[in-house]
Amino acid sequence: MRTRAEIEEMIARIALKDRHAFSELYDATNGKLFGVVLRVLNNRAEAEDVLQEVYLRVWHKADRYAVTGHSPITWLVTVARNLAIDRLRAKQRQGHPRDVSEMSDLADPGPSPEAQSIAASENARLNVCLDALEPDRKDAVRGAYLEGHSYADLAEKFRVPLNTMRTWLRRSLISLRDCLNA
Amino acid sequence: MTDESDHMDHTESNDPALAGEYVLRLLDAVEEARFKARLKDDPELQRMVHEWERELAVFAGDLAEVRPSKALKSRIMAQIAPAPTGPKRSIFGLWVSGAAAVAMIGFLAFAPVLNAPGPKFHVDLVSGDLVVAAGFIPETDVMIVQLNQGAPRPGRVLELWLIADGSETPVSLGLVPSEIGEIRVTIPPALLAQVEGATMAVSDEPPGGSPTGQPTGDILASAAVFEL
Repeated sequence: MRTRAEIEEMIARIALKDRHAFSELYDATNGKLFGVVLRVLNNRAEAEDVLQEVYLRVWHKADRYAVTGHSPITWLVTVARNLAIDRLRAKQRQGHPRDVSEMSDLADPGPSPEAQSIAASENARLNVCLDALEPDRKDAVRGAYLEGHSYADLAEKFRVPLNTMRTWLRRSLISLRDCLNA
Repeated sequence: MTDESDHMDHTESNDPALAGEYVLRLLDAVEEARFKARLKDDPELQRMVHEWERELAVFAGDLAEVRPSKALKSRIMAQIAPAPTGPKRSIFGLWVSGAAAVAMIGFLAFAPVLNAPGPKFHVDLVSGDLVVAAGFIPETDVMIVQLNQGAPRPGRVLELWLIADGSETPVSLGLVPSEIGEIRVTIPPALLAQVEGATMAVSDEPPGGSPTGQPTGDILASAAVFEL
């Protein structure tokens, strides 16, 4: 993995339509971003389509990166996850509901070196605050983020009424926010 | 469905939690559209969204890296290759900055095609080998449709659809070129006004396009339009 400064430099050059920088950024980040997209879509062909969209979006919008104030990897992960969920929701609208029983467990494989580099940032607090939530609620937030679960998916997975799930999630977010701001 | 824990305290601002739900993509279409509309002009809400995006990205750190197929990189690099020169040159290669555009106004009158403003909205529709892109230039009501990779199925055509934000009904934007290349068409301003926030799709249709005004064949790809 390249350093944050190196990736920022690549994005700055991509904003000037530097194809070599784009190629370097692809090499440095495709494994991570494909991991994110594949986790949501659980289908390699669809995930590759979305990954292509992600990099085209980066090519067109690299000049917008600075506005978010994010680290480059956070920005890229956010773009990738959002486009993957766009595709997932479009599929659901076309009548392909998810079978939550077939979805992967939310087992934590342990932090990768990449995770450690993200966790080493100011965001390490989130892990502390997540651990303060009840395990089910932490898993629900995690499932919404990593797998793009909707409230309906989560309600089914945790076998609670939809409104209960909504309430759980909102309260979890409020607790997290209070904890993060503390 | 009722549950005794449903009664939430609404006396304080729900915005921090709402921003979290937005980032997690838990809001339904109506709630999401309402939130987005507020987000545009509300720096405080934007700050909350960015905070959640930054904090929740920790989850992605737990994911193992997975390699996509080797061929994907060359497919992507081909998409951003310099547009060929000559009559088929992509309009995306002709984008001019605001200042340059102003400087060219005098010239524009004599060369409206070459120096027209660039697209403001763009969409990439990707599915396997098929890559269709569309750009929209609100100033001139022009839509550019490109077939960048792939081809229609034998004896079939590709049709482009616009699904406006909050609508369920696709509106046809016409056919995609059947060979690699692009077309530029003028579309009604009323339709162009619906492009922002819309979803676009490309479907497989019989020659001449859908006979019904709605997609009749497979939806091959769909994606949200974004602002350049």
